[in-house]
Amino acid sequence: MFILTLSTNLIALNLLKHIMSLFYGFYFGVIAFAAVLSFIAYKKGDTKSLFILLILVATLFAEIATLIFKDHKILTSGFILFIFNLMEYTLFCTYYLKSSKNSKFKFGVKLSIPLFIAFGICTWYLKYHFNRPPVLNIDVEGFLLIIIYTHLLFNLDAAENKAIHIQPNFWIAIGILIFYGGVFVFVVSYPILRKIDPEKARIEYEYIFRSLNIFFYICIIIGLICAIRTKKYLPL
Amino acid sequence: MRNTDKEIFTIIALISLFLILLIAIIILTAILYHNRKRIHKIDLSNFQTILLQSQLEVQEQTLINVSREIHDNITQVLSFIKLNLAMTDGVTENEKQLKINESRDLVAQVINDLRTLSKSLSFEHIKELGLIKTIEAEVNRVNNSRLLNIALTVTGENYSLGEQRELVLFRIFQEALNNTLKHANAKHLKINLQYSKQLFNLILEDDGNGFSPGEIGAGNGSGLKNMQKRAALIGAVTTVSSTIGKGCSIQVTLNPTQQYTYADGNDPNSPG
Repeated sequence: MFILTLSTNLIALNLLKHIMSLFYGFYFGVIAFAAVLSFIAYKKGDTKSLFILLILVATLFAEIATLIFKDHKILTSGFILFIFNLMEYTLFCTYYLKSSKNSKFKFGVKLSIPLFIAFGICTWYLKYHFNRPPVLNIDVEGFLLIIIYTHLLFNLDAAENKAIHIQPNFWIAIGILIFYGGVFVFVVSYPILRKIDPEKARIEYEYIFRSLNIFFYICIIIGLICAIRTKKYLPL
Repeated sequence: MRNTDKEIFTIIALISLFLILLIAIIILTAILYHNRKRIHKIDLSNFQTILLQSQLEVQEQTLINVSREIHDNITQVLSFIKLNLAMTDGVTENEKQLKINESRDLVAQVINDLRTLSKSLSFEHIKELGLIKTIEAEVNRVNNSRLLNIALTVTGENYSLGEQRELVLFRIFQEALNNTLKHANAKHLKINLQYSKQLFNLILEDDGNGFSPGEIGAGNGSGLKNMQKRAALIGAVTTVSSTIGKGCSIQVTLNPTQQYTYADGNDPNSPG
């Protein structure tokens, strides 16, 4: 009986590992595909796509590095997340600055970049002591990006006189809003959840975070396809 | 795991779900907002197209009128002057002077007619003179031609309805007048412009053949359908009533205080 239970558990564990590796394969595949599309969009003349490309490449590096460092215990993932967090916010803000025409709001966004970097460094030094994942920074970043991209969503270029869902910025904004809105509470409560039940917290983190991540990158892919199609029909 | 810990997990999941729902509402609001904006733009673009079409039609109709006026009136008078002057040879000095004086008067009349015609050539005269004066000029032209006897009355204190509205109203008037001249076989036409604070009415009543109401939708009634479409574009309502043998009545009703898509407060075309 004991041997049967043990073998069942081992099979279940292997299956879970297999599913997880499939999941990771799919996840990295989606990011890589989005990166290729952003490169095509950039080459077709959509200069804004360069910032999306940089974000995607940085994401891939951060994700792979986190996995490697986690396995080899070289560095904590907190450091990578900290650097990535600052880079991501700066690049998303730059993408917004290239997309928006509202000068007052743009000034605010420009100002927020150095302030966010300063806040990030201070928090990481004072609160997380250079080693723990900067969850507060991620939440502040999410909160600011939700505000910025809600503004972009309501100020999409109506002069083009075309349906909202074929505009690249619409999909980028939707991806950001749903992703950061979805992970907002979970990220800030993750340390508490980990204290209560580390395994359950990790699994929930995997499923909630990764699912929303995949939704986010799918939105980016749709947005980039729209950008490529738009550029295809524009005169050279 | 204790019950309270489970509750914490549930509460966090519920708050996350609520936030996603909130974001979804924001996104839906943005979609609805953009759709409304797009429809507004399409309406505005349609309005500009119809307005341009109206301008072209007014010009075309004016050119037809001018051409008819030159052919029926000015050319005739000039031919008469030419004949008059040709007959001055071999007549007494008194008769010669009489013919020259007569010709001079006729030339003055032609100059006057040409001046009136030149004014009506441009679309700008609606802007300069306003709706009443433009309709008045048209009424005088038709009355002078004796094709129809038109009586124009204006009730209430008149005000500007806005350049674009007045152009569309003038085009409706022009089309109605043309219909009366071409198809109604009418002898009299009453035109009434009624101005009040909340309402403007343009009423045209003729004593012609009339038609059955069913004809409005048929091929012959495309002009009337056009009038209704144009009127709807500026927020006006056109009512056509007719009985066979008892003439026809067309009424265009407009609320001058109502703002339409094209009319914004700072636009000179907005109702004054």
